[in-house]
Amino acid sequence: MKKLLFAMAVCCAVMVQAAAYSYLVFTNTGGTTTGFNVSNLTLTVNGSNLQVTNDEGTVNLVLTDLASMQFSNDGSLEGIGNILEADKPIDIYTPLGAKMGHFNNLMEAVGSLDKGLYVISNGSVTQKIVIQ
Amino acid sequence: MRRIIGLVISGLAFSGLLCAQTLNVQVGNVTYRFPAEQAGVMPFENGTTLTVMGKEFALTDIGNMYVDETAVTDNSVQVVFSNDKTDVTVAGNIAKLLTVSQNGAHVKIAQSADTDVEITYTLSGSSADGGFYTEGAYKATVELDNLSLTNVSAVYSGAAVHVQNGKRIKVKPLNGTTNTLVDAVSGTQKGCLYVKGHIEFAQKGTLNITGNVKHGIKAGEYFTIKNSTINIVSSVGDGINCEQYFLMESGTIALNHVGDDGIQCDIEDTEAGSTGITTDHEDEDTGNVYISGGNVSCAVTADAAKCIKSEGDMYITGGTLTLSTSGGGVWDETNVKTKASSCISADGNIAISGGTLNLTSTGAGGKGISGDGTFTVSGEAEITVTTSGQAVVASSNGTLSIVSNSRTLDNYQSDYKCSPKGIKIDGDIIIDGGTITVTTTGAGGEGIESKNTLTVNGGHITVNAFDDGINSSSHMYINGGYIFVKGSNNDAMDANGNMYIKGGLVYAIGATNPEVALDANTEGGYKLYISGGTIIAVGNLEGGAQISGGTCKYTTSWTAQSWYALYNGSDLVAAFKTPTKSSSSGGGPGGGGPGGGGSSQKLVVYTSSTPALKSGVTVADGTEYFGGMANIGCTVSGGSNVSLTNYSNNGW
Repeated sequence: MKKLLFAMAVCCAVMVQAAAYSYLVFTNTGGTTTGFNVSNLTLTVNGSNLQVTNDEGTVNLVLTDLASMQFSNDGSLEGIGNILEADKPIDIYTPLGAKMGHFNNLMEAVGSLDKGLYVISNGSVTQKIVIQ
Repeated sequence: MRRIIGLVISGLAFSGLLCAQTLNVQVGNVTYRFPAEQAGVMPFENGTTLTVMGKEFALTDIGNMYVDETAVTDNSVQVVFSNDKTDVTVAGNIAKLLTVSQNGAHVKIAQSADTDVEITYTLSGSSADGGFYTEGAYKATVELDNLSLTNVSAVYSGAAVHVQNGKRIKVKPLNGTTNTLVDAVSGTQKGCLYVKGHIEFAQKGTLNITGNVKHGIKAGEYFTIKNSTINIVSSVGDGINCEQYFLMESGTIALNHVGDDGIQCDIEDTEAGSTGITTDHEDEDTGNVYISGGNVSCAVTADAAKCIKSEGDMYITGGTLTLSTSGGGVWDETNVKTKASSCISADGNIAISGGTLNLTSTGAGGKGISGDGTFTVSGEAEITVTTSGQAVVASSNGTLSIVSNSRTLDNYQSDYKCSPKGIKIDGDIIIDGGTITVTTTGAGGEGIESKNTLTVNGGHITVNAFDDGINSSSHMYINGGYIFVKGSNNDAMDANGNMYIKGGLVYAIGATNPEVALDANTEGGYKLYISGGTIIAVGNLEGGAQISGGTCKYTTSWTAQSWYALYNGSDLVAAFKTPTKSSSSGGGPGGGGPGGGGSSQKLVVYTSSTPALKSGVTVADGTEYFGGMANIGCTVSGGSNVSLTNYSNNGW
């Protein structure tokens, strides 16, 4: 029963985490990030600026200052899409929530797991991976 | 062990519940949709470009960007036509592979050489001047979703839909939809729907095609169809023209107002020639036509046009084909010969083992079936052929004229005449089964003709021919089956080699002297051999026939339209009527005059034991054949015995 509840919890976590992408985060050439809620978000090139408008208002970003933009779950870039690359401890679960183990990083986990579908979590981000 | 790790963002079932975010990038009337989970890092470059999933956008080209929750299907492109423009939507994962150009409602989508996924283009909406053009080098799918498209300006192509892609292209008129394509009169396209590669039609939608320049549909390679309905409304050239092979499993093809052939399939590589049939048709280039189901209706009107023509073989195992030709003959200067129309024509062999074929030719020299190879019929095939045209002949300079007297044809060499035969085959004819009914009413109208040997092992054959009923240039073998044949103005059955009758039931009615019911080429040193089966012959047998394995008898007195019962010993074999009375039967306008048989005609019967005849019997039950002139499996009652005379090997 505990396993089932845990599995449901993991699944819900996956849904929440994967469903989010509630922010679009801009990184400028200096490395500073600015996140915008994506609710009714529009981006318009206006001369030398990128006009960003959402429910919270409008902000103009200087295009030449922009290095990149990226969707984010929480408005920050920490952990976003880097869970596979980060050298941080992770937990691995089966799709039903059974914990497979705790590893120092993903590559260590990969070396210990068979082919298959797993749920991976670093505590703040949860994603699914396929090992082939 | 090498391990590859892939992110699965939406792989599980519950992922469908997610509210995905999508970045929409609009450039003109093209919207690129990038799912948030796929977008990753989107770099800006010097304030001039933005790159998303490998697709680089000039910032000055971007009209708008916005985020919404629209779901995106990978590998998909939607093109919506609306009068003078198109709205194009491209899935983010393939954005970097495509270059979209637009001019009014004309759209061109070019796939990069790096494309390694199958892209599905879904076309919908309508335009009075629009066209869809795509080019690439990877297989693709084109879906038609209630599309109505008329091309006028021929911007990227004159075709309404043009796929310049030499790979497999699936064309799907989506289930329940009706789609209409009309190509540009001003264009140079080969088809209203043109595909450089091979077309595979699927889904139960309808596609109406008008080909104003050449063909209705042109496939540079093979053509297959399953479920779809294709209506060729009109075409200047062929209704459907393809190469490699044509394969129809089901669906409906209706071809109307076509300027040339209905369906034509050629060998693509004319230098290498046919590959021969391959397993699952892989890399096949035969020019073959395969029809195993569905419905084909076609009416062609051009001179010498064919409803279905194959440069290779033709295999029909099912389906319903209703085909008609009405055009006359033409003089082929290149090959120095006359040509005429035919419902079915194959440069190779023709094999029919199923399906229902209703074939009608009304033009001069028009045929039901013509083939350069062999012709085989088996299984449950049902073939009905009617030709009503006269013969067409050509003078030495190719001037054509129509003749209505078969004897006149004897004055012309074979290449200078074309007769309205029911089935005309240059190779062997082998009939193992099926039902064949042939009617011809024009001069030279032989029912079934082989330019080589003809063999009947089974099936039901009924022929009412103006000329020879069944003719072979070489030997003829009757080993089984039921053959009911009448040659109104010539022999019923005519072998220009030996004729061997070893089995089956033959009811043959020949014309009056010098024509006979069963004719072998005695003048050429050949002979009629009868060694089995059952024969009813109205008219003479070929003189010097060799009879064995049974008994042959005849009478010179019989009456028309009266039921006779033929017995083999005491066993009833069949009941039959004759269309004419004998010269000696007397009474009324019979005898040798109108309605009477010729003065030398006889009613000949042969069975494996001793034949016996009763006249004036009452017939019940059974199955009628030969337009009610014969009945097999019936019971009889009443009647009176007919006096029969033994046949002599020395003739009559």
